[in-house]
Amino acid sequence: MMHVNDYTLNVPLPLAVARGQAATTDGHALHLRVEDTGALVKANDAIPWQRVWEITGPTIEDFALLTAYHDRARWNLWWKRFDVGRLLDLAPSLRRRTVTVLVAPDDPDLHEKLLLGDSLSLRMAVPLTDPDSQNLEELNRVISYVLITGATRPVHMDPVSSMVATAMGHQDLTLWDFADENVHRNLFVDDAGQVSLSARHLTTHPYGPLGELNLEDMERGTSYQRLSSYAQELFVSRSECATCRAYPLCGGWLRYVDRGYDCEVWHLVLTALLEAVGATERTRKLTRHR
Amino acid sequence: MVIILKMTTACNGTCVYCSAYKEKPQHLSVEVARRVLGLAAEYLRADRRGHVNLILHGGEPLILSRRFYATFDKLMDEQLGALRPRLNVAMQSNLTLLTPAKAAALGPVLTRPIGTSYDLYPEVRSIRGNRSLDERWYRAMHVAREANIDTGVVYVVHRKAVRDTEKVWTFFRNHPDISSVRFNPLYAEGRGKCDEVADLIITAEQWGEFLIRGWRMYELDGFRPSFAPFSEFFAAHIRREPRRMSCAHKGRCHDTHLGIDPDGSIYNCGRWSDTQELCYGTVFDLGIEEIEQSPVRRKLGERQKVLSEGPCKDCQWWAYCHGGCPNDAYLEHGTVDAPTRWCAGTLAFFEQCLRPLGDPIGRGSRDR
Ligand code: SF4
Ligand code: SF4
Ligand code: SF4
Repeated sequence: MMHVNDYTLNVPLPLAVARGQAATTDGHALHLRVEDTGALVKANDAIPWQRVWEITGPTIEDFALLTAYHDRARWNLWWKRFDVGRLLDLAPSLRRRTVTVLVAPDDPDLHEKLLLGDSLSLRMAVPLTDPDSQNLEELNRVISYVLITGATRPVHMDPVSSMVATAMGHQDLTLWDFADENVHRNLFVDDAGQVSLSARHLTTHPYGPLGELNLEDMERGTSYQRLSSYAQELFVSRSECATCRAYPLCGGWLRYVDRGYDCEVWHLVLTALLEAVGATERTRKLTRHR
Repeated sequence: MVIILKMTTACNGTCVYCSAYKEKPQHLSVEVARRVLGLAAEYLRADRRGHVNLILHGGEPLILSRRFYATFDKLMDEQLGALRPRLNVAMQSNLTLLTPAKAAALGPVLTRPIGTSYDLYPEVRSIRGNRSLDERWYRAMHVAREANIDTGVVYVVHRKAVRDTEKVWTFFRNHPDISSVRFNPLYAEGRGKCDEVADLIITAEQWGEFLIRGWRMYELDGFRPSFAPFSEFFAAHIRREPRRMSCAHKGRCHDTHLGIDPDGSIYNCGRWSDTQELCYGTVFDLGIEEIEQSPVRRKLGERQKVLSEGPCKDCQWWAYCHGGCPNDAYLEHGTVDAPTRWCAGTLAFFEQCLRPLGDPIGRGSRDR
């Protein structure tokens, strides 16, 4: 059983500050979704800052206007307009460990933005929301880049950098975690106050309204149980995932919603990454002991 | 010293290849338990720096009651007193009878992980009454985790597993509840001698094939999984630490191991107790010194000389094998003075997988 404060509640700003919700969200780290930075400033006094862990939503340009808030949380900032001059201006304030610059997976300038951001030592990420959200060809290019460039200097391009850390055994996070869908850690609240694991699970695995949420009941409920017993079920049923070489990175995530999902290309991309890391580790161990 | 103590010969499982199967089950009595712990204390008093690793084995040791383990805990205090910290206690179990209450009773007794057998092929392992072992096993793994009892898996490699080596490897590598595995080849003992198991028994070549294909997976995984014997051969060959190898490959078990039956009969290890051959005597007749002087021990000890001057004389891989497990040799040839049936397969593995990474360490090598 998880403890109450093991969850991070991904919640829209208005709900986080609304009266009556605070008690329910007590004890959790908050991940605020912010649409409008003006609203953030306006709600300043009502925001329980000591529990705000992460804020997603403002653009990199908005961030420049929020200097008083920079050190209050981790920030996930959208880079939308491809204006190199503006990025160069903003880079000093974006170049901190608590800031991640997000590029949408369907951004026509995705590749250029990732490379440019990295060349300025920014932490870059392409959000992962569902199996089809990633451009796999692009993901593959990023993997090569992270593996090659990352050998000589730190590179941060998620979800790839996190995948590499898992492949190296530094952590055991999988696509479930990279998509903020760790059933033991993530709670998502939509604008209407309905809770689920993530936006895409709102209808399939509802946990109920935020105001009435009781974590112990939630953890005993069908939706939660189905999600949390999934990994064990994969092994008990000797499913294809249980013997899949990509499992340490995927954890069966690609097939959770649609058991028939054709994960072949993902599988190729993920196993290539695991094998590349395995080869490096092998060489390192052989040379160290020779 | 390692003592494999058969807590019972009864089992709730019906694994088709069980080597410990006995028609008439027998449980350990308090008197035998007291005497075994007394022997451990005697050993520790004589060897001031030594340890005793006691492995509670069976049959299925969890068949014994909570009350028995509470008594066992008291006996440990009674017999060992201040020596108790030098007694490590582990268990080998199918785990399916582990309940929170039993885990609580075991807590004070166990100081090392429970080794648990597991198989990917449900058809070879089940519980009496044809019930699935899996469901209970997963529940028990959860109980063990909650009780902070570590577990490791022992996997019996049969013909289906050889066919699916990569699948078996990857299953265990992926499994969130399993962090270490020991792969042992299936051999014909107990139920393993029955005709129905003939199709599962593997040849030397098939064992070699499993080792070779397993090693390829081990390489792909960056030599990371804690899967024996692969990790042990890595330690011996790459890190030059042969001491990490298992009893079967160290050639010293006549000095280091004892197996004790529920009735107190002493053997060289649990496998000899399954075979019911080369009995030393009983815990009521023999003390540590007499065990050490036993003619059975001497006979087993001479095996190293016989092999290293005979059939294994020219083998460059002697330091990694020492002729293998004497019980394996006995089951195949009726004598311990022969290499095991796995020789050809093991040699093929050494040559194909270890040789390209360097020449073997010499005979009698110690850790670097
Ligand atoms: S890549 Fe496909 S088969 Fe492999 S673990 Fe993921 S969903 Fe399962
Ligand atoms: S007889 Fe075999 S199994 Fe028993 S201790 Fe010796 S090597 Fe190990
Ligand atoms: S591989 Fe064969 S020949 Fe070499 S030591 Fe082992 S049993 Fe003897």
